[in-house]
Amino acid sequence: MNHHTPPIILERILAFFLHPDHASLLGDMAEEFAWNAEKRSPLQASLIYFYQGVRLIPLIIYNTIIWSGIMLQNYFLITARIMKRYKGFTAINLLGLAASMSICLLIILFMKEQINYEQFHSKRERIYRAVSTIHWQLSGNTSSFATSPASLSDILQEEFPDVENAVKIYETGNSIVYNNTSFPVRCIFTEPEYFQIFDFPLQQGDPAQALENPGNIILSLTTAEKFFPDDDALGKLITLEGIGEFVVAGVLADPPGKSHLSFDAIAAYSTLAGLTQFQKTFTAWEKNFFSSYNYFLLREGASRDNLDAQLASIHKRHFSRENRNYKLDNLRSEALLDINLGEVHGNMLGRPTPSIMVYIFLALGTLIMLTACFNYMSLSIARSLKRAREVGMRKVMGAHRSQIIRQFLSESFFTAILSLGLAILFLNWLIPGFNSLWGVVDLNVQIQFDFFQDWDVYLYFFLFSLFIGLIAGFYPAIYLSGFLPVKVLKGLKTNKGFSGLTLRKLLTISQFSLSLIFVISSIVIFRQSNHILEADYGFNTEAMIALNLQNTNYEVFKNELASNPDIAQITGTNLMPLSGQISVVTIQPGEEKQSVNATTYRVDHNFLESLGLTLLTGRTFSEDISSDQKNKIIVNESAVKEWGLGDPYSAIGQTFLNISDSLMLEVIGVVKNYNINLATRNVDPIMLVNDPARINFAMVYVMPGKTAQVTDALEKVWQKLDPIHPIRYVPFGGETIGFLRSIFRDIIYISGLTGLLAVIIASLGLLAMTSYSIENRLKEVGIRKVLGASVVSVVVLLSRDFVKLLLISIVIATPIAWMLNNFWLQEMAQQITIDLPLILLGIVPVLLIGVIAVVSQTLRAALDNPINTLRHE
Amino acid sequence: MEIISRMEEVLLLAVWKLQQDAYGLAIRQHVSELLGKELSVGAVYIPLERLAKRGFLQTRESEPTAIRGGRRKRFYTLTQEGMNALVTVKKIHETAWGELPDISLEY
Repeated sequence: MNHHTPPIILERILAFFLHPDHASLLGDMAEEFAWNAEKRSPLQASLIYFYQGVRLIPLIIYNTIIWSGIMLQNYFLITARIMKRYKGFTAINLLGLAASMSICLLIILFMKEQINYEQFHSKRERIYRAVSTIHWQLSGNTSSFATSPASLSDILQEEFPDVENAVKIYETGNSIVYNNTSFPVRCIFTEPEYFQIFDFPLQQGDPAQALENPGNIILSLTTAEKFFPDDDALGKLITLEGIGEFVVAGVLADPPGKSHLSFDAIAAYSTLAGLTQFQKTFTAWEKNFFSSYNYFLLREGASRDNLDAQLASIHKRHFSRENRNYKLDNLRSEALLDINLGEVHGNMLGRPTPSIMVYIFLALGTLIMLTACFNYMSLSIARSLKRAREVGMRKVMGAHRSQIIRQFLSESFFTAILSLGLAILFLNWLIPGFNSLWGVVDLNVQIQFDFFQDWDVYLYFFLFSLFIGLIAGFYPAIYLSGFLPVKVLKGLKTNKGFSGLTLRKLLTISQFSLSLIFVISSIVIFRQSNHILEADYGFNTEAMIALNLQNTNYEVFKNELASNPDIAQITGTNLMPLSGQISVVTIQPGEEKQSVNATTYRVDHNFLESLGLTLLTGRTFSEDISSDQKNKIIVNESAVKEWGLGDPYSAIGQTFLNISDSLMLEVIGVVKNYNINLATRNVDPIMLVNDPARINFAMVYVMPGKTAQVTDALEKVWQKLDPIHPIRYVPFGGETIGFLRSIFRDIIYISGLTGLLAVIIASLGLLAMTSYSIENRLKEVGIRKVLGASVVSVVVLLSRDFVKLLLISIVIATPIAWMLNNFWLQEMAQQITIDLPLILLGIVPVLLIGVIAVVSQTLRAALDNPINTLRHE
Repeated sequence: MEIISRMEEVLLLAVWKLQQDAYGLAIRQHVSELLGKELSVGAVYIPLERLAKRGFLQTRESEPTAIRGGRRKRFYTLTQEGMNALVTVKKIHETAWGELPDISLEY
C-alpha cells in the first residue's frame, strides 16, 4: 500500500536529536502523519508533525542533559583506561601534539599582543597620520615615508574644520647626559596636544603643562629610573647631547598597552624654534621632511575620504615644489589602527610590527599543527586492530555508531587537553627563548605573559586544544566506528580498506626530507657564522683593538699613546672596514667625462702598512709630505678597472675632481683588492684619502701578549680625554658583524627548533606506519619464526621497506640542502665549503632517530613468542 | 506504597482499556479524546516511560512496519503492580468521596 511519509528533513532532524531509545516515538509520529495526510491533507499533516516536533524540544533537552552527563563520565573512564593500557602510544601522542601545540600557543600569545596594539587610546578610531610618497628624480623609483612636512598639521588644522586636533612630532636620536653618565635614548619633540590625542598616562607632572614651555622634557619611567634610581626625577636638569639642557617636567607611567609610539624621552616642540641649529630646519619643508611626523584627530563623524581629498589639495598648493633629487608625489592618511601590522614605510616612527611576520607565523603554525594532527590520525588508525573487537562488542551490546564516534572523539579531546597542559609547560622555555631572539628584541615584539595572571589566555588555549582534538580525532572516530561487528568479532581483517598507504609514504618521505634540509642548513649556518670571525678578509685583524673616538680628536689620542711600548701601531679611519657603513664621494675623472661614485675611506698615513694591505704599484701616504693630506689618493684594483684607468701602472698620476669640495685628487698608488663588505664577494671601487682630521675610529695594534696592558692604558687615556662618555670598543666588523651574527643566531635557533620538531613529527609518522603494517603481519611473523627464521632476519624483513623511505628522503634532501645553502653562501665574502662530513653530521642523527622509530616496532614483533599470534588458528 | 498521579492513572487505565492495541499513538489519541484536549507526544511518552521504569507497565516491541518508516511499535501492558496501584488509587478515591458530608447541608 502506498502511504504518506513525513517530511524527510524534519524526520532526520528529530532522529538526530532524539535518543536512539525513542525510535518507536518517531514511528508513532510517522504513523499519525500518514493518517492525517489521508484524512486531511499532506500539508496539514506536515504542520501537525512540525508542531509535535516543536513540542518535543523539552523532552530532547531533558534527555540530552541526563545522557550526556552519564556518558561523558563513561567516555572519560574508558579513555583513562585505554591511556593506562597503552602507555607508550599515549606518551608518543601526547608528546607529538604537545610539541606542536606549544609553538601554536606561542603564536596565539604573539597574535593577542599584536591585536591589542594601540587599543588603550580612547579616540583610536579617529586618529590618523600623514604618509608621503617620494619620487626619486634620478632613479625614477617611488617610496613611501611615514614622515611628512612639519607645517602640514598647522595648515590642515587651519583649512579643514573636520580636524579636531593635530600634533607634530620631530624625531632625533640623542644621548642624555646627567652627572657625567650618558645613555643613548629614543627621543621625540612634540606639542602638548600629544597628550590630548593619545592616552599616555603621566606618573608625575601635568600632561597639559609639561610640554608647554621650551626646555621641558618628559622621561619614560625606565629612563627616569636609570638616571635617578633613588631620587625624584621631576625638576632635575639633564642634557640632551648636541641640543642643550632640559628640565624634567614629567615622568611617563608604563603605558596600559602596547603602542608603536614608545619613546625614552619626549621634549617640548617649542624648544626647537629657539635653537640655532634648528633655525634652518623649519624654513623649508624639504629640510624637515625626513624627520617630521604629523598625527591628527578627526571630529566624530568626519569622513576619511574628505581628509584624503584635503591632503591632496594641500599637497598641490603647498608641497609640490621639486628639487634635483626628489619630489613629493602625494600625501595620504593612514589610520592609527593600521600602523601596527600595516604597510611598511621608510623612516618609520617607533617600532610597528611588520605584517609579514604574522603571515609567516600563521602559515608555520598551521603547517606544524596539521602534520601533528595527521600523525595522531595515523597512530590511531594503526591501532585499529586492537580496538576493532572493542568496537564490535560495543555494537553487539547495542551501542549506536554515533555513540562510538563520541567515544573516540572524547579520547582525542582528552588527549588534546592533556597535551595542552604539557604544551603550557613547554611555553616556560619557549617564551624566554623567543624573547631573546635578536629580531624579536629589535622589533619590540617580546611576549609578556604571566602564567598566573593572564587567565583570559587560557580560555583561548582551551578552545584551541578542543579544536585540535576535533581535527585530530574526527577521521579516526569515523573510521573506527564503521567496523561491522560480525566481521571484527569473527577475526576477519576489515581494515585492508585503509588505502592511504602510498599517500602516507609520500608524506613520510617529504617530512624526513624537510627535517634533513632544516638540520643540514642549521649546521651550515652555524659553521658559517663562526667562520665569518676567523676568515681572511685580505687584511690584518689580529691583535687589533678598535675604538669609537666619539668626540675625541684622533691626533690627540694618538699622541697620548705614542710612547707606549706595548702598542705596535696606531692607525685610524673614518669608517670601519666591514662595518657595513660606507661613505660615497662623487668624483669626475676629467672635464667632459662621466662622474663616478667612490667608496671613500679617510685614513691615517700608515693605514696600509698597519692593515697589511698590499700595494701593487706607486707609493703609500707619507707623513713627511704635507701635500699628501687630502689631495693624494690610493685606489684599489676594482677602481682601476671600473673607472677605466687602464692598468695599475697607468693609473698613477691620473687626477679626479671631487665635485662636492672642488679638490683635485691625484692617484699615487694602487692597492690590491680587499673585502670591505661582509655580505658580498664583489669589491666596490675604493679610494683612500689621507685625512687625519676626519678620523672617527682608532685601530690599535697590540704587541703580542700585551692585550691586557694596552686595554688598561687605553682606559686611562680615555678617562683623561673624555671623562663623560664611556669608552666604546668596536667589535671587529663593527655593528654589522654583530647584526649578522644576531641574524645567524636567530636563524639557527628557528631552523634548529623547526628541524627538531620536524624530526619528531616525521618519526612519529614513521612509527605509526610501521606499527600499523606490523599489526597486519603478526601471523606471518609467527609462521616465519616457527619455520626457523631468526630475530635479526625478521627485523630486517619488516624494517626494510621503511628504512628504504628514509634512504629516499636522504637522496632527495641532500642535493636540495646543498643547493639552497650554496645559494646564499655564494653571496658571502668568505664562505665555508659544504663537504661530506658536514652533510653526514646532519644525516646521521636524523637517520638514527628514524631507524630507532622503525626498529622499536619491528623488534617487538620479532621477539614476540609465535604462540601468542598463532594459538587461535 | 506510593500513590500515582491523576495523569498516570489515566494512562494506566488507557493501557488497560486498549489491551492488545496499547502503543504510544493509540494511547495518546485515546487520552486526548478522554480529556478533550490535544496532548503532545512528549506529554504522553515521558510518563509512560516513567511508569514502565517503575514497573507498573511492561513493554514489548512489534515487527517494524512500512507506514512507520521502518520503525517498531512499542506496546505497553499492565503489570500486577500497575493493577495494584490502580486499585489503591480507586480505593482512596472511594474512601475520600464516600466520607464527604452532603454538600448541600453545608449551606
